[in-house]
Amino acid sequence: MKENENLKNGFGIPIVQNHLEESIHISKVPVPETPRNMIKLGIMIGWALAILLIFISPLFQELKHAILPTGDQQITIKNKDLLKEYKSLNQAVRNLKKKGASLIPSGYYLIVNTAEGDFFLKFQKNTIRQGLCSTGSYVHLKSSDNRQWVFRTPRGLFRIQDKIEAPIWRMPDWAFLENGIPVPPPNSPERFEAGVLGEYALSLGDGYLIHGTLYKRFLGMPVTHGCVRLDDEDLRSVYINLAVGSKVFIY
Amino acid sequence: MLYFKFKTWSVKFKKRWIKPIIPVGNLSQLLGPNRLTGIWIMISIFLPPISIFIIMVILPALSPEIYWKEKTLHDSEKKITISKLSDTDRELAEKIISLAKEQAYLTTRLQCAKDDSISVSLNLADSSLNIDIHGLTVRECVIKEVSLNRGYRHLKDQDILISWISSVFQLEHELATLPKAPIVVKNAPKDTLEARDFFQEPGKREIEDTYITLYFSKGLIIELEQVEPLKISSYLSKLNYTIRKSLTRSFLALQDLLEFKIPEYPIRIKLKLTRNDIQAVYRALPKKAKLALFI
Repeated sequence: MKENENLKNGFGIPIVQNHLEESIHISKVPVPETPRNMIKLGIMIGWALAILLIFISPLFQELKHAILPTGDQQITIKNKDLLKEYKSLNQAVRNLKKKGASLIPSGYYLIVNTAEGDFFLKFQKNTIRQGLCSTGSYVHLKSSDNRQWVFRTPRGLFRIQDKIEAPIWRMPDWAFLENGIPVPPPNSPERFEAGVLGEYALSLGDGYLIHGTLYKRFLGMPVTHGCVRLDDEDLRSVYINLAVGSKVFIY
Repeated sequence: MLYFKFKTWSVKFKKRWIKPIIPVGNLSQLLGPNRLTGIWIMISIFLPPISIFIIMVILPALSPEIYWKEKTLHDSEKKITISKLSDTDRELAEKIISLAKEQAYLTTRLQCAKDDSISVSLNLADSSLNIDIHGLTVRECVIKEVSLNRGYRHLKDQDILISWISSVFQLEHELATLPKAPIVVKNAPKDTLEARDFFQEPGKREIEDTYITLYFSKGLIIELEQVEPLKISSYLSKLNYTIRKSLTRSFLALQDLLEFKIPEYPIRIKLKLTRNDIQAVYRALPKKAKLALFI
């Protein structure tokens, strides 16, 4: 046994080496790193191929279906007699069609198309009147005190909640902020303006209205704060024909 | 004796023919210094792509109906093969299939109509794509061209197809060349002077090139493409959309793989409509829109 003073472990204690170990150590040939690196390279190539395959696998799936022939159609029938089966199915389809038809409103209703800015006043399946309308502008307004509004017309099924003649507009905060005017207190007379909503207004709930406009040249364009604006004659027709509870479909 | 002769012959053969062609001697040595390393390298290269190929290509293609429920037959029911029937029976059986599909479609439409929100019904027999609200069709779009991927044609069992379309498809994900809502962010003006610039004369509605892909539940993908030719200014956005579409396709498959599921073989329906119709459909669809399908 020989104490090698040059070699010390982590705690400062000298490492004792055997002569035999020393000789073996000297005679050891260093293991080349090449095989390990090549296996690593192989793994990398393998995974690169696998990832590539993930991206092109849908093409292979289609190719398989292109090669194979199509098979014979099969179906399960409840009745042994095909004619009976046909008749019972036909009856079931007729009943379903009737159920579907019953969903068409029996009275007057309004369809508003926000994508192209037009409306259809309908009675059952017939169109009574159609024309241009203005809907939400999609402006996202941000105020300096971090309040924000998105002016979009809601979509889906609505019902007329209320009908108002000669409506007076109670201006919300954004109407002042848009004009760079300080916002007045909630019940300030500055907030109330007559004549801007036209002769009539029909409420859809949540502050959304169908009303008239002073800006007739903008009809058919997305310019409103979420309400639906109509021309005077169209508005009159809609007001007369739609009752409280009538359906309004907006898409 | 014979063995030694063979060995000498093989050594001579290697020296004469193999060495000049492959300098190291054999394939495994070409990849590593010894045979074992060579085998490991070969395994590491080929194992991942082969396993991916089996999981993502062979298994989904072998059983495209894997996510469709198979129908269990009752005593009174029997399965018939259409081609084995007589001419009159075959005609009747084809009508039965069509009626059964229509029944499934109408049932699904009624399920969609239970909500007040917007749903879509796609009727390939009528070539129409409808926007429905509470069961009322508010817009009917005429389909100019339809194409389906090949997997659909290989679906022999119509019961599987009928049970597939008998329930609502729900929108899970969508891709498009145009924004869902054309939102413009504006800061409120500080005074009346700034407010003058705030109000701008609105322009006409922009006609954008429109390509959208809708990913529904139960492995249904619907691609909507405009019939109008693509504008030169839209080539880049179309390219961007195409790349995103193929990446989504692959990532969805990868997602299944990470969840230890066999990736689905989707039914892909490509429809050509007018640009206005596609925009109306896309902008009308809510986040989790429902769809009824008649195929």
